[in-house]
Amino acid sequence: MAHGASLNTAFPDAQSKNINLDRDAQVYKDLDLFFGKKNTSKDISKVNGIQAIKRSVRNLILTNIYEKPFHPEIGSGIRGLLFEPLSPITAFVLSQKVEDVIENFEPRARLVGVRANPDLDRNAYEISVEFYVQNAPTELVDTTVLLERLR
Amino acid sequence: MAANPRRLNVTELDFDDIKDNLKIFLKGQTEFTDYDFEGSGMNILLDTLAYNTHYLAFNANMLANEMFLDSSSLRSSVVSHAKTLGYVPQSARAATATVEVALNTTNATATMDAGTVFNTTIEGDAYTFINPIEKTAANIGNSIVFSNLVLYEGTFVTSRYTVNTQDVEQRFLINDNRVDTRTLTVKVQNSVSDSTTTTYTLATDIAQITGTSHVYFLQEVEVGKFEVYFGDGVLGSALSDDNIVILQYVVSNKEDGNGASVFTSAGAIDTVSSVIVTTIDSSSGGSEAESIESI
Repeated sequence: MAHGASLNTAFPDAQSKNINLDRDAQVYKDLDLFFGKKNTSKDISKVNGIQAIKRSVRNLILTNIYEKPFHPEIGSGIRGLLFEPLSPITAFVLSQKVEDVIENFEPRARLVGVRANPDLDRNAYEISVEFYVQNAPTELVDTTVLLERLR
Repeated sequence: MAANPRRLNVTELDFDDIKDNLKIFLKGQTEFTDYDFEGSGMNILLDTLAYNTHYLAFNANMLANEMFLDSSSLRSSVVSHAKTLGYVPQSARAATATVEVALNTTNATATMDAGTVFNTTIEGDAYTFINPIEKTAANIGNSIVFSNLVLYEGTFVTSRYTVNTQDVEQRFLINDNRVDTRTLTVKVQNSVSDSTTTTYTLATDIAQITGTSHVYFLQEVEVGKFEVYFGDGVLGSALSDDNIVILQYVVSNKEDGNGASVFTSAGAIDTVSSVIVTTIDSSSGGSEAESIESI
């Protein structure tokens, strides 16, 4: 899975700190694919809770079909759309594909909506995904991914 | 018996089963928990690990299969196993036709060179048939007849190699996998300045070969090509530096050459231009090289 330089700066937003290890029924702990280093040791850092789910959503969006070995069906398949004309129609199709991939492959997210905003100046789309974490309906999670042809 | 998550099961070979085993193993720890979600970073790591394991398992399986003649599937492996049994797979076969060639001349004898060309057409397409071996015949009442002459469909090719014994990688390859090895003649010229030429024959009985036997060996090598190699001075005469190995053979169009029945000489034969070709047997027998199953 490719990670672009423009996307490598993961902001440690407030939601990433909202985790309460003592009270959560299930704690999500994942490998940090940006390979950040822990402050306390030379170990690779982890991402936890909502932040882990947001990373998962982002990974799914950026995964193209036929990219995962032996599972061509997993992925959003939006890469080809980035080479179509930058238009509201393309943005709509893009948002549909993002919705599909999240609904199919991210069971932890209860999707509220996906917006794809064409950014004409940057020749890119800004994908904004809103979802609730399953079993945590009080907090609306919002994550944004910038999609460019060259990552 | 339930799987022990502390022990990694290593009996599976398929990608998904390997990945499932890794997930079962990861259930025994609490450091990372997201391995079961397709978008997670851990899942990508598991994809990589499972793919790598699957790759190595496939490689090991392939390797084990290729080690035995019964289970090998690559032609190079099958041919190699056949070689240990002393078997050389049959090359592609040129279509052959039997003709009688009569030269209207008063000359006492005539020689038909190796590579003499005869033309024909099959379903509107032009083909050439070759006499691969030099033939000589004598005059019988104002004509010289080459009877029961076997012609091979294809193109006559000559390859020359200058022997360099310092070059350990030197090989005498027939650079076309459509060669009909029945037409192969192997000659060795002493050097550029010494045109003494010796004809080598295909080794068929190793018990009869001495250190001075002028024999060559034939083996199929990569992509269905054939290689000619020589003795080492103990089993078969060895080559020396500056010897020139001359390989002459017919490269055929295999089964495309079947069905020709009318042949004409492409030119004069031993300066005689009045040539009558009578067909005895139409061309047939052109075929692909021996298949893996057949070997």
